[in-house]
Amino acid sequence: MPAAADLVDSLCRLAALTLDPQTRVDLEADLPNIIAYVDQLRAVDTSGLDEHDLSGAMAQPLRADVVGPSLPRAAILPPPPRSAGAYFAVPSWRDLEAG
Amino acid sequence: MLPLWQLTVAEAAAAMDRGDMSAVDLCEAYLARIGALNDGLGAFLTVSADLARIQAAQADARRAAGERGPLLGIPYALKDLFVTAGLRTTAGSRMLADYVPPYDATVYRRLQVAGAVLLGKLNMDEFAMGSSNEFSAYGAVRNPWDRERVAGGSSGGSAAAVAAGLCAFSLGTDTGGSIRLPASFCGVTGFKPSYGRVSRYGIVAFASSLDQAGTLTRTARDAALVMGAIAGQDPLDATSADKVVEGYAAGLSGRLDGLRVGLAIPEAGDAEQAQLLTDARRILEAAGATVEDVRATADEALIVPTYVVLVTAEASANLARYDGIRYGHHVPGDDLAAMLGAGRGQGFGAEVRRRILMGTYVLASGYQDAYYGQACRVRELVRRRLEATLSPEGGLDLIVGPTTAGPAFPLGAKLTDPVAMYRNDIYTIPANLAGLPAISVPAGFSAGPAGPLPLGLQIVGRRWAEATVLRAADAFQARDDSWRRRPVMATSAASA
Repeated sequence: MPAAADLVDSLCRLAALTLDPQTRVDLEADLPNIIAYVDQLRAVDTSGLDEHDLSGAMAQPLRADVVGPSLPRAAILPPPPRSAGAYFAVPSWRDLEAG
Repeated sequence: MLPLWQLTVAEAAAAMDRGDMSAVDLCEAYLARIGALNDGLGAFLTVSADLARIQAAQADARRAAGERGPLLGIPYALKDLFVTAGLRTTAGSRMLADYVPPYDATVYRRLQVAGAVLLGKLNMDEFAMGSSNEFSAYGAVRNPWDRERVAGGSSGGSAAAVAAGLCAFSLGTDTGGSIRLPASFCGVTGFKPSYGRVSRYGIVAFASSLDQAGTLTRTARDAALVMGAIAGQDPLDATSADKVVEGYAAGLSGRLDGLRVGLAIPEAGDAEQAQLLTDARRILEAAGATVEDVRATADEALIVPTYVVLVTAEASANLARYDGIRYGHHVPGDDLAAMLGAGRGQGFGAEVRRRILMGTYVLASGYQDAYYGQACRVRELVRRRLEATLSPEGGLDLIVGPTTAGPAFPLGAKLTDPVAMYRNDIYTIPANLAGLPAISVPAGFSAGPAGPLPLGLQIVGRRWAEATVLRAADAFQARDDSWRRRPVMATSAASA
């Protein structure tokens, strides 16, 4: 496991979260504890089991995939903060890794 | 007659059928009580008084036209996780502070058809992440039995509102115990059906393989009546089951003859838990059940860590949709990454941020199989173990044990220790992992410093055996009057 500060930095980048300094300090303490707690699972013998066994056991028959009417977009979404004609407008992406 | 707000669903419907009162009378009684007590509890986030009065008048008109129904004119409230067209739905989050949905959750639609009267939307842990209801962006819900203690979560508003007589019943959701735990802490009956029994369409998603809607009521009979209205397959939810919905209320015979019940005795139980289980054995045997001791299912090394990995993984994926571009909390900016980060960082609260990051970790390249994959395999192991016991082959019809490790704890007691908070759900999580129906019923009281604090008894059944679970809970309540006891609360003349 990486050092706590590096771990939080990396996860925030992946999850698109910007944290205030105090939250960052709290998470640098909390996350290693939670990870250590769930590490108990590694000791459980699950040989013979597959990750997808459960979804098979709990699955329901799916309905027919029939296209139906949709709600008009104006009814579904409030006016977006930024728009350009019929589109949502977003600012440009700047690669933080590249600076 | 009792004050109107003290009537059960069944009693209120019967009183309206007799013409003793109208749905408008009942609605006004609850609105007055909400006005008198909600500020001290924080149970309601939105009170839809105008809508409630319209729906109550419509219910009276339907009854006057000869219609009858167990929920016709009954006032209720929804956890603020169910979307309601035209009525704000926050999920307890700043992220959705101004979100007004354009459509209704299926369960809300079904309750409209049944003629129930929506009083408003109830407080909850943000995005249903929590077991104390201290993680709401709109303040903690306080326990009606002791306002310095938690109501439990995440459906804390739903439980506190029923306990305090602010609505006749409520709906909540249960991902790892979020109906049963607050029901236990607040002294009400909380029922989580089998996964797939009730539609999840229109429920703001937290952990989709575990989330399930259910009821919070005074009694198991009331739960059966509400389930009769909301259960059943929904073409809008592919995970809802094509299973026959039994007549739950009609099956409440008060007898448990022929049922085999396993009494799950915790390894580290205290004197109160021992007494609770002794009483449960006596009552269930008096109702005709055969009771035997079984190994408690709460194996912490398996149960809670599995749950933590699964729900954080699913939450991190489900909550990726909140970007502030289409809807949700928006922070203006000229750079997309900075805008997304700021909006999500400000819009989500502390526990949600913690779970998103933890979920991102367990799904990250190089860790996915060790954490998420392993948790999926362990979940299947737990499901098989439970099925081996709760099945015709295993012999047991029900497993009964304490809902929680103790009564409601003081506000703030576990806020700084996430792992301690996660462990609150240790007795309730197994039913979620295996998709089983489970109920918590009031079953005695603990002596708290400010007065009695409710304790809950959990009854878990075989998958799809809602009728058996409700019958057992009803038989228990026919022989134990813990459910009748109400918290002592300062009331105004208007609400009496």
